[in-house]
Amino acid sequence: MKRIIILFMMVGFLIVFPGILQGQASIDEIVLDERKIQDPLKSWTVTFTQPINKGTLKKQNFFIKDENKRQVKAALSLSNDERKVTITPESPYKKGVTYYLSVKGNVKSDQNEFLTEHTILPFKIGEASKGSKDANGSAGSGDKKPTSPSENKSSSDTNSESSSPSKAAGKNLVKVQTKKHSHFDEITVQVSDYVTKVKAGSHEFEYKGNNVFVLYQPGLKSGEKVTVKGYSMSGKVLETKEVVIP
Amino acid sequence: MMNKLKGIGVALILLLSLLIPALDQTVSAASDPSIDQLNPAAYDQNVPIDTDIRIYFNSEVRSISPQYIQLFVKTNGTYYDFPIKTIKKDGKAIHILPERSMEFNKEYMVRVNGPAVELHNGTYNQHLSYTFQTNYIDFYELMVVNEGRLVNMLTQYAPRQIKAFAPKRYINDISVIHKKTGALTGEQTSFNGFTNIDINTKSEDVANVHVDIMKNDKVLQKGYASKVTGAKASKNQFTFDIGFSKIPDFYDVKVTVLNSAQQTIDSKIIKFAAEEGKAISSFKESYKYKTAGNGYTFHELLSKESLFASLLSESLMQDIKVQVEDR
Repeated sequence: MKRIIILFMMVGFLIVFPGILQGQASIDEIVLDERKIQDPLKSWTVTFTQPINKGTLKKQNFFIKDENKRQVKAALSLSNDERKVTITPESPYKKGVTYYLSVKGNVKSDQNEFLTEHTILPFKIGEASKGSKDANGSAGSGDKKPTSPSENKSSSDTNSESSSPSKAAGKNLVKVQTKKHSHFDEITVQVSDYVTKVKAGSHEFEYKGNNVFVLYQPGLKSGEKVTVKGYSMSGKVLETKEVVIP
Repeated sequence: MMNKLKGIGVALILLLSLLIPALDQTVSAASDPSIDQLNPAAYDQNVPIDTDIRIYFNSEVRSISPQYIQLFVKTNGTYYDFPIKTIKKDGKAIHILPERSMEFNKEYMVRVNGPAVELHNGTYNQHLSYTFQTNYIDFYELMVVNEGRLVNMLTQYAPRQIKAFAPKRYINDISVIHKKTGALTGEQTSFNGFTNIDINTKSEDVANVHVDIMKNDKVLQKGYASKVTGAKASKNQFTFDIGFSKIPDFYDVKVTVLNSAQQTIDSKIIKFAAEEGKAISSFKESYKYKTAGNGYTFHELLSKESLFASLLSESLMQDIKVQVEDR
């Protein structure tokens, strides 16, 4: 009778506090755009904004599953600064199969702060998308959107550290600066490797080398907003930024 | 009555004594051919290279004996003949037109020797020799580095007297074809990447084209492009090509155009980023200029914003040169 009461109490407890078994299951799940890769043994590196708690470096938190939810055997490794986790498959990916790289919200920072979301990156072997860094078949550095045990409990860092142009919002126009001169304004833009042309309206920036573009523009007024666009070599807009003339 | 007449006579004599020397001077001035003005003025320092060389006389020019008029350019301390194409008469002035345009940072000397100009009032037959210099002020320095100098300049000269010269441009287009390392098809054996760069230039003045492949400000590979000759050569333009192997997929291409004296006359840096998913990427950039080789007064630039914007976007500011015209 006592056992029945205890069992009943446990079931009741679980009904009242269901999250106790779910852990972080109730947090948001973010599914990123699908990537196309060429390297069948491509490894993925996830970069965090701060060192992770080594105890959370587990295959339950970092894993790759195929479309039939079968987990792909993969090895995990942590960088010396404990901010990068690399997931390397032990067998090649199959053509035509979609795989899902998952980083669970159970991952904690060394300050014991959880991620606020699960992140899933679908990918498959195929003709590389423009956003895939490793489309040429090189392996090694990952291009998965990094998730991060952030400094604040409520947010994870969703800024991509990838050098993939279309996925790396905020990383193609790395820095935009303006400077006022007596007869014109100077706008300097530091870009990623992928940006080969920068424009502000119909005005094209002059390339100075070493990923720096400059435009000297007369007639701009203080407080005026200028939209700067970075283009890929094929003419695709990779990023747009607005600057205010000082 | 007699006294009155005497008074008138004295007054007349006095008046004549005053008038006669004046008349005499006028006649003398009209009869002695002389120079009224030189343009550019003697010893001017920042004479624009497109300045008209004119000598203004005090009487209408009837004819010119060009053999007595010479123009020299000073190079390494010695004056060399700077050939004159023609000398025109223009009212009271003669207009000296050199065969080619003057160069920046040079000293020129105009010499008139012997019965050079037949004027309405006689022959100008005096020795005249004066120099002027075509030194320039760096536009970049005026506009960016030392804006105070521009302020000072504008206190001395009106915007119409200050002239900015855009450099001539010689590169018409640059094409890059880049093959990544790897096989083109699954069956092929992987082989190294290679890159071909074509540079089309104007034929005028161009002797050599040098190409640097750069990454992070470091030169990875470099070389002189070779001129395409024979059937593939184009009219009025040169095509140069060069090949590289084993260069990364992201790099800068610096193209430098040199004249026969190995001086840089044009240069361009373009950025190349191999396209994702493509074994072979190609890229062509063509250039058209509105302002290249032209001079504009500051008044024109300040009153026409689009012209100013074109000048700034088409030329490296460091290559724009500023000179002033004296009035």
